[in-house]
Amino acid sequence: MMRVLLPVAARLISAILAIAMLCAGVVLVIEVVSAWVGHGWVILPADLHTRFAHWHWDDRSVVLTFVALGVVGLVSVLVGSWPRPPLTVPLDNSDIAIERHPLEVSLSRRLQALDGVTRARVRIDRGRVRATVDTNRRRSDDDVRVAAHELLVDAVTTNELQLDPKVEVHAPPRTS
Amino acid sequence: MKRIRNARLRAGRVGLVIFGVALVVVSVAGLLLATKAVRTFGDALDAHTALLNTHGDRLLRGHELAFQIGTLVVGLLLAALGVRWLATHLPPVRSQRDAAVPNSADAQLPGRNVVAGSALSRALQAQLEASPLVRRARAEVGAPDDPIRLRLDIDESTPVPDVLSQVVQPALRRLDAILGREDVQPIIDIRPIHLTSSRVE
Repeated sequence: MMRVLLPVAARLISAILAIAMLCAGVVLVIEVVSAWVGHGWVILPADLHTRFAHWHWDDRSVVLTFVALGVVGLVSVLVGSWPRPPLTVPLDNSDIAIERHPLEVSLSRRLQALDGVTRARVRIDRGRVRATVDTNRRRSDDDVRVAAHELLVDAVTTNELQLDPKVEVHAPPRTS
Repeated sequence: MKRIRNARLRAGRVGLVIFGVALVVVSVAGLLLATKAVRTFGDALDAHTALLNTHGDRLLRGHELAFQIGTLVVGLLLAALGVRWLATHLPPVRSQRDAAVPNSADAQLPGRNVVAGSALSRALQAQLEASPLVRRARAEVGAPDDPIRLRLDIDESTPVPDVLSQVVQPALRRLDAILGREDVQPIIDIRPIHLTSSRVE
């Protein structure tokens, strides 16, 4: 879920913040230049100085503004620093990389073709490829785990990827 | 290429964290004053006076030009950073550079042979796509010393090193020979895809 939401949130927030920075910068430049050429305030209210001289630190609007700034800041820090997998997985010692998502889809498809596997999901993080495999118990869990692990090891070795394969097998509960 | 997006996303995330930390610092400082947990930050910011008190007002009026220049610099900086940050959201433009081909047939003949970069990249793409292992190829041929950037959609069942040795390296060697350039290491992004049986026989 976070893999889908976070990139979208990061792009949205950074686009909004970039537009806000651009607008703030343009407004500041216009106001300073306008003051220098003697036009006075152009965009910001003319009584801004008076307002600042009357607002107090514990006024409701002032406190709410600081709270809003804090919330936006915290969300930005959280979204920006949340760990995310890279878009590409490098091959050993080269300038060649495989795109992560197509590789995950490809490995999932190959795992799903294994005997006894009903569903497979593959996630690649930094240095690790992790497969979660659902089995229908036509084969034992260990057989499925070994087969899936072998497939991942083969994919990692033949493609010279710097990834450590891990397999997790989910089986339906046994009925008596 | 995804690798360029990777770098841009990383830069965007760093920007988000820096901007977020700045906002949190301002927010915490303001709330400390608002709750009177801290009495003052210097003489100009006092929890028991207005946001702009007499000290602050005197400071502003005493250094009006300096504050205006400072505000202008901050404004220009914010606008430039905003534009730069917005630009990272745009897809990268593929730039193809024209290449000068040495006149190997008759070196005495005057003139220059120049091949359009777009034509070179199309030729390279066509050669790569001629292989049954490659579904789609996109190439970016830059300056002579710059690495060639490739993005390849390949058959997922074929090991990547095999595709590189059987398809990519011969094509690049041919291009290097035509252009008379040294063996420049390419930058390649690969997308493994499931080819239908009608494509691979």
